[in-house]
Amino acid sequence: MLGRLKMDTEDCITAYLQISRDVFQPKKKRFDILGRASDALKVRGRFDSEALKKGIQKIVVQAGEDVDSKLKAEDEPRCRVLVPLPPFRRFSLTS
Amino acid sequence: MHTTLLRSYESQKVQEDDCTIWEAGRATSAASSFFDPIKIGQFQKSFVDGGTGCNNPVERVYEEALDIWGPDARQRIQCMVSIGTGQSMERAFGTGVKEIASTIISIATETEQTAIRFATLVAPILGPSPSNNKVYYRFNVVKGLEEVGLEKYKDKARIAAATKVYLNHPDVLSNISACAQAMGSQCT
Repeated sequence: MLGRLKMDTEDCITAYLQISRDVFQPKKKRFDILGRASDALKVRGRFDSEALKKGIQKIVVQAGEDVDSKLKAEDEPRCRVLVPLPPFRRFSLTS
Repeated sequence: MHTTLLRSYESQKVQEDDCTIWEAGRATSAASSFFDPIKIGQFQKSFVDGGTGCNNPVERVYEEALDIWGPDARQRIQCMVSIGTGQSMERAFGTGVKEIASTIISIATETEQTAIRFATLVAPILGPSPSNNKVYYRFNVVKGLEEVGLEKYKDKARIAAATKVYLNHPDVLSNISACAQAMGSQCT
């Protein structure tokens, strides 16, 4: 948000408050033990990935970018952004 | 198992395929059991959280600086700021699931160990010699966030309060003003 979208810190905090409220709603109720167990088995997340995607896209658009703007900036940016991804493993169950 | 880096800039390194901003945000949030795995880019490479690993990317950032600036990087770095998300989140999930809990402990431990290793081994050799100005600054709320997990958005007042207490500690205050000075000096 700071580096690629050039948002200021106030706007970043506002965006965080908004997106965390939208995204961190549990998908399965606590008593739905079977549903939660099947999530764990299939490596599905506990929270709504679609809501996270929509939330990020909303922030991107609000910052004046296209919804599908690339992470790589068109010109050599003044502020370089590096996004480390969690260590990944090949996974076949979901594909 | 290795860390993948997505960049907003050109690099000499072989790059991951072009991904969108939202894909990058979505992929980096694929934290343990929180969100579904994601496939990104032209080749639909799959990203599933693999547990512990690079949760403090400070060494990766230093490597990038070495790639970009070459052997001069060490002297050219005038200020490096590392911000943590609160120490020891042992009970962050509160699920009682043993494996998840132990994953979180090792993530928190790995994050702080990386911070300490960097401060000890790399930070002292950074910056233009012969100046003795401090270059590396690490900020991390040390108390009050232990039980606030990533998903606890309702705890925002508690997060803000613990952060303010940390920021008002005399050592932290003087670190902040030294850091601000280091940042300001390179803008002139």
